[in-house]
Amino acid sequence: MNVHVSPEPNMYRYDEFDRSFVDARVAQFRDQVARRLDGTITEDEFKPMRLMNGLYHQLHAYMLRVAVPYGTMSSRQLNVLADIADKYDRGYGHWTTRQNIQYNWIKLEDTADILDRLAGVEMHAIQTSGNCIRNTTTDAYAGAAADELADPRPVCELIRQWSSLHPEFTYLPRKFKIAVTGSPNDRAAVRVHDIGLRMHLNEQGERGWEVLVGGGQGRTPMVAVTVRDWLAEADLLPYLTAVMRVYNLIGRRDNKYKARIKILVHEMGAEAFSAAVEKEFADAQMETVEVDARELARISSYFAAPAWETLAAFVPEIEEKKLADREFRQWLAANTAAHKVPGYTIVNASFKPAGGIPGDATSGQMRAVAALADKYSFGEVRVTHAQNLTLPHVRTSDLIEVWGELNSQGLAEANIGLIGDIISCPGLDYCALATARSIPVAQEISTRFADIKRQHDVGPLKLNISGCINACGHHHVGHIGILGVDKKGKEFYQITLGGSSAENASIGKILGPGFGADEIAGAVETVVDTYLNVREQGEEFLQTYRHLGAAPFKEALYASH
Amino acid sequence: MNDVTEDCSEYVVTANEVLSGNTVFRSADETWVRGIDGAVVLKCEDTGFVALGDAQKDEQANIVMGAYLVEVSRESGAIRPVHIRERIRALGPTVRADLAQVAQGFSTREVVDQ
Amino acid sequence: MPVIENNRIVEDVWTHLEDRDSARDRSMIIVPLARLQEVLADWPAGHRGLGVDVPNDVDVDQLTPHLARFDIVTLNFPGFADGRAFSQARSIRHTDHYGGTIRARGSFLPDQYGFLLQSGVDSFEVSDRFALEEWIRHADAVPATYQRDYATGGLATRPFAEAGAWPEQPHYG
Repeated sequence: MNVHVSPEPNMYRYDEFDRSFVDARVAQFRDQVARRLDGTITEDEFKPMRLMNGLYHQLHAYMLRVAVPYGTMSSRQLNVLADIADKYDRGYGHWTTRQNIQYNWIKLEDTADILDRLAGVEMHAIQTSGNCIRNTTTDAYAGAAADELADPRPVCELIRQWSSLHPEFTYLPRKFKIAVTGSPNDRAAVRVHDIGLRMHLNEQGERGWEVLVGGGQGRTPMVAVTVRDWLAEADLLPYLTAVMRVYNLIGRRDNKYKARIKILVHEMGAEAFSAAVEKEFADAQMETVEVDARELARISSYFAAPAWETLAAFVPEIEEKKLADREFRQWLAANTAAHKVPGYTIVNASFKPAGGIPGDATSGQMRAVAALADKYSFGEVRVTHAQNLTLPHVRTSDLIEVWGELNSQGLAEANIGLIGDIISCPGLDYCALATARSIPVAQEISTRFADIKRQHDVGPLKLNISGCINACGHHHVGHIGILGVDKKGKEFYQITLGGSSAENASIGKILGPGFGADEIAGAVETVVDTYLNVREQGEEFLQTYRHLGAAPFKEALYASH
Repeated sequence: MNDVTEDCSEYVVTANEVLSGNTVFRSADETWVRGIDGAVVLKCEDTGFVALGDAQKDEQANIVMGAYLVEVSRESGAIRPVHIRERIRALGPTVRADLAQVAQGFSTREVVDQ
Repeated sequence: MPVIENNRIVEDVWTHLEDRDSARDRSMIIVPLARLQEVLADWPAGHRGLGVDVPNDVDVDQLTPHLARFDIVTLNFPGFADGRAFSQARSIRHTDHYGGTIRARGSFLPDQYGFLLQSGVDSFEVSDRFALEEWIRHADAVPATYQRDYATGGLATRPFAEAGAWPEQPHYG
């Protein structure tokens, strides 16, 4: 009998300490639920507790957000996520813009059991909500990307542990999000996070971190400021502690919409804020430094490279298929990326079928990707910020099979990074905070642009849709952003242009008056057609916008009105 | 002066079950039902607030949470919320007709086109 | 209000100084921070029995030069979600090495008891809403902590990795 054993991917594995931690946390939550139900604690008191275990109450039901730390998971974990979808939800889940997964139809009475099931595969929902430090996110291509300096995930894991149930920083003014990049091509959006960390070398060639603070989206989008050009890795946790302490003590608590650290940095000014952090950093004792270095070394050993085969970069079979099969060629061009090891390729699974719900995954699709990971990617899968999945380490010679299998699951639409790869929050169809629906807008736009050849002709274009000003769809950093609002009881949509979360981060600017639900998709199409008319040879959308400004787009949309 | 023929809106009382999270509506026999079709309709806000006050006993007993009034109107005889958010909450996500909250024969996509 | 120390209810030996009262010839009093200079001016040298009550929105650095004179510092929770007192406690206890009693007052929950202990609080003025057992049960509801230098008795921290040379820079794959 053949017993299929999933390969153990090279990622952090819990030891007994981690397991006892997460088991105790589940038991604690079970107790908190019981005390809620018997009235020992009120809903107002219980709410922050359940939020700290990722349990929201949304428009229709409880929603559980499970952490996928820095977007990395094993096939075994992905299979359990599929089982949870089937047993406790309606057979599907949703990949989020911070590399987590959300289930929309959860019951409170089942939640502790779900958390137990997750703990069994070293997963949890700790701190995926609440006014605490959230999931630390990074590049979905970490450990695989050709352009990365080094794998940032050991540092992400160090931060994850440090931030878990931190006694001092669990009752912050507001939520806190940290992002880390190990590549100069920032796929982690470090400039629009509360803290962003960018790995780079100093003049002595030593590896360290640029510390950026105060980026964010929501109602007042801002790009972060640099508080430290270069921080030695050994100083990371003490420095982060200093930032958190300053924020915890003097971050605003009078107004929920002014409580993020970006407001504090903005109101104090970057210089005064940096000075406050440096003073705190100098005051605090450094006894943890030696400990941290040991911890990081221990954690890093889990992220040692998989057992690469020595392979040729050039695979004739693939090259031939590329020439012969247009669809395969398009898929390669859009959905794959260069791997640092010759003979390997990074493969993306697109959860953006034309006319479909962006980022939703059936349990069947989850299991299919898990099986692909087992067979072709050392058992490893990543969740991306764009609500897709990545198989990070696929042998180039296996690409045809992988493509075929993804295709059979509806996960091979060749639209990654193109206009069809829409990032959309769940919006008013699911979310209690929303002011407008976002998914139907995404569906209509992706239907209009279903033609893959047309998408490839348009080229790289990030389209982000948010159903309210909380901006969970990250529309501020979309090349084209759409914000859904309520105008006299009707859904209404504003367009922003020119946002970017990459190295030259920018916040999109509102183009002009908004559009009704039946006009918005057409308006977006007009924007894209305008770009096609005015672009220079080889110029991508964002470049054209930065080059020409809003004028041609305004004219196309509004001049004839 | 109270005018008994005063023209005022109709309401239902809604809440969420604590254990399940389900959207529920207050029925005529003072229980909580899943579909809005089973809700008792209250004429005028004053009547609504009285019913809401009654419902709050169940909040204190930790059976439901967050009870409030939803303005409704009649559409082909059926009770339907007036505001789009409440419609979606009562009927289900417009993008997943298979997850509709109410009995079949009813297209959630249709009702939000007002 | 009951006071909990060392997981037991203890007699509260302290009194908060009333607004218009003089501190002269008093002992075992906790004075509001706003009146500190006034009280200290009159306080006999070497006289113990003095505490200070600190609002949660002030910079505790101003206390640093005077800490040796206090047997107790009281910190405040206007609401349980307002976590500033955790950082104040940490600053006083850890950065300033304060050896006296740090007491939490106001609105905080048993679920925060363990975090308060870890942050350096060792005395708790609680409402009578929750029984003592409810409080002390939460001291180690999660019996392990990743915060090695916040740990307080009873909480496990990760055992150190096996001794041996570790690389100067972490080894990346």
